[in-house]
Amino acid sequence: MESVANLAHGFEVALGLENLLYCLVGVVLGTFVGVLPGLGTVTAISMLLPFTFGLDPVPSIIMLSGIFYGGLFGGSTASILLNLPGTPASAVVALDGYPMAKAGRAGVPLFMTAVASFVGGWSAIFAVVFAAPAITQIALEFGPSEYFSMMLFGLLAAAFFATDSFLRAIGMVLVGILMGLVGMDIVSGMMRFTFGIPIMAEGLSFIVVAMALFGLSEVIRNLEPNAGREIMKTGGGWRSMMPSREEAKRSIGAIIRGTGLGSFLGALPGAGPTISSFIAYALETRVARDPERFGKGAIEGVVAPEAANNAAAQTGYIPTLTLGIPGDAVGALILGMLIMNGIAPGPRVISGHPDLFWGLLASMLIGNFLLLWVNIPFIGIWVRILSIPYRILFPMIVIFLAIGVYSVANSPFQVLLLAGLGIVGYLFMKLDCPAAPLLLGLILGPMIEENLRRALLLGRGSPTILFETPISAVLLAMCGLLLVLMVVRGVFGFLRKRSRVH
Amino acid sequence: MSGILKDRDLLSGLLFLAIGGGFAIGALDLSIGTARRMGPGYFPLMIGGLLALIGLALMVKSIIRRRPVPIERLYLRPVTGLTLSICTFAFVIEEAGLVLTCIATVVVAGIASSETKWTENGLIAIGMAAFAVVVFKLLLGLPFRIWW
Repeated sequence: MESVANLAHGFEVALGLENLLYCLVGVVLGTFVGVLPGLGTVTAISMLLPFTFGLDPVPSIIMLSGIFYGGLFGGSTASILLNLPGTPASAVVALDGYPMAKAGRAGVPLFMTAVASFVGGWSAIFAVVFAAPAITQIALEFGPSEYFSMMLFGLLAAAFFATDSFLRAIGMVLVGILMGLVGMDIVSGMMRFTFGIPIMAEGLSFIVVAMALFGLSEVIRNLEPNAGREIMKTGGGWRSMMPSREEAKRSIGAIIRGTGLGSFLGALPGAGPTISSFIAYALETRVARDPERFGKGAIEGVVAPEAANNAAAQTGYIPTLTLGIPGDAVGALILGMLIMNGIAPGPRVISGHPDLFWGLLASMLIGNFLLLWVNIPFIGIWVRILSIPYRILFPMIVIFLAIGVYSVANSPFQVLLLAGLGIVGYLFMKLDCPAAPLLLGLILGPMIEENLRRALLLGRGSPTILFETPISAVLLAMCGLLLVLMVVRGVFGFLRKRSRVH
Repeated sequence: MSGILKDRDLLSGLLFLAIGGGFAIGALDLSIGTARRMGPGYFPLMIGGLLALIGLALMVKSIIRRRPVPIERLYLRPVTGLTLSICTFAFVIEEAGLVLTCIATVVVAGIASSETKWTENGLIAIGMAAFAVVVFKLLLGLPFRIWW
């Protein structure tokens, strides 16, 4: 019951006027960015990071988190009305949401995604409230071997879920790790890969890399000439938003399954909201008695992925805040922000900064509730925002990116780095190389090196030390399993394509 | 066979080989050390080498598969427009203050899209300059100069 008392304390923090305000600002901004197609939550958070530079850590993490789950809430709107994902995590909602909108029933999926997100979010936050302190107890026993193995597992899992091509995904993780090595080596004090540029001693800032790979290159991609968009009309009034009795009945099971799946996957390092939503959709098509309804406007295909992605967003805080290992790209950003604020990530965050941890959880409960009111009654406004042409939006995004990067260190050099990395990111996109594993590698790289060095020093240079403690051995066995699965999947895919050619 | 030169796997592999190889060779200039006492070059050499191997594997896969998947078309206009725009910001911000920098950045960004309407672009430029001054300078107190 200690958790309940702590959560009560969290509410005291979160209901303070300043924190409440930042929570509201966060969820509104998040919904705004989520609604706009072509702006993912990672872009949104990195773009809006400078807004938090003057703030204390508690209000800034509350606001950034609000942007994150608010973005997931709003992301489904564009999927349903435009058949374009507002955020990658909402892409799968378009499969059944858009046909419903085309049939003149857009109100139903818009309403139901808000309900599903809310249920998924709240359930998952309670999972965090009770699971996180327990996991912290285990994590306090972690030594360098466990940390190394845990991070290795996280990176492999991220690679596994990112794309079908495991060589590409692992390659991108490694590129990220290498980029993370740039700067001063903490053990020897030697400069590594800085090309003699003094400012590079501090390393490549994850903010610059995130804004380049998720922001700038995304804008470049969105400016490619393509077909126009057509927005589906939404009928007015509450009545048009109500699902039929049959749909309501079907939604209950789907929301529960989506929430469970999302909560579980989100808590794993390496799997985030996007993957959860896809797997939740796949699960619904399996359990349905009449799977042919899917793709034509089945309500389960709308609510399950939305419940799953919001649940995963919340449980994603478990590895980030208890172990200091981010679950996905957003977790990596949150972690980076904590480090910038002088909070050392790891199992001591909960006991050392109770205001931050419990205040954040309470604010997420409040924020998810606020989102219902931000989304449902004001849906008309969000629909109008959807119709802002991109030619007006993109110069604004460019200014946000530039000012954001410049403000990190008040250095024009970082802005030039943004431009260069933006080109690199566009190239990676064209080569079908996923950017999320790179960002994880970038954040985890230095920690992996440090823990590997320490572990091997303890083990007198012999890697068997990594297998000597049970937790580390189990994690490494899971890594091995993931590798085998990836190879099998790759070889099967290869053979199947080949046999089709012959 | 000419299509294979544009194959996604081959080009990704080549890129990985170049990045991994570059870091591995760079690491040779640092002290490597032993597994027990790793020098600053040990880990980069290991990771760079591994990345180069993965790059090679992708290239081999691409060549034995013989069914190239060409990379998507690269559009130069948005790339150059946005790169120029961001670089404009970098070069002007320390010289000309926030207002002129924002205006210049938005105007140069306009090059990136064929749909840009220049009067509209001018209005966005002035609007963003005002917004940046009010929000970033006045409300958030970030250390910008408004004018030169």
